[in-house]
Amino acid sequence: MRIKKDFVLREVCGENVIMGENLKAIDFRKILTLNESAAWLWKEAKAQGDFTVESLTARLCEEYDVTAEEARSSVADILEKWDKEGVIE
Amino acid sequence: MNDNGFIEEALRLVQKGVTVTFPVTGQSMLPFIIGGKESVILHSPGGIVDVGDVVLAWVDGNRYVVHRIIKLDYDRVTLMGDGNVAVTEHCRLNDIKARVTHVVDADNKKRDLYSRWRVSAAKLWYWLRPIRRYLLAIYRRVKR
Repeated sequence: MRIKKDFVLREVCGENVIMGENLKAIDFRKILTLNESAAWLWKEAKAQGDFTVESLTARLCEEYDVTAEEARSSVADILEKWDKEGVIE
Repeated sequence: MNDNGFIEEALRLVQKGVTVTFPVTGQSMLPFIIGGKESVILHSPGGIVDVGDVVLAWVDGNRYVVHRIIKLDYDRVTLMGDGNVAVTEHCRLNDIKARVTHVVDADNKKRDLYSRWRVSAAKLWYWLRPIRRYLLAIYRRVKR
């Protein structure tokens, strides 16, 4: 999986939001807001380029004090949401 | 409208030529825009705005509003919310940050704010200012 090239993480009003860049039209009703750990995961996914549930789970376990099972479940949930929102491919 | 950071982010994109759909709050543009339920489509004003246009502007040096231009006097702009009965706002032409072209409802249905019918309705609504208070009260009761 990859993050689609037109989407970037920005901080607006103290919130982490995913914004489309270089798009002809943007709908602010559909802006994706990320909490702190999801934003960290976004940066990690961006740094990895091609990523998988496993590669992000491994990094999450290194960074946070969570079990592999918890981390995998969180990563899978977040990636499912991002996929639904159309920001990864 | 609040959340100036989000408005300014939207305006940054509008200035780059992006068409932005932005949700609005407040009832100051009733009955043409229903705050909290509908959104507006913003375009760069491109330096061309006219009386009757609905715009996003920085007014009175302290806030953003989406209101209608009711008077243009060279560089001086007077705005008024369709849902207001007397209060007006003032700004300079370069404080007009975006022009609202359409309204989008929750079902994504788009309405052109400048169709012949809506332009006529807006003109009539302007002249109905003395009785707007009563018309808005009826509107709110019917739409409740």
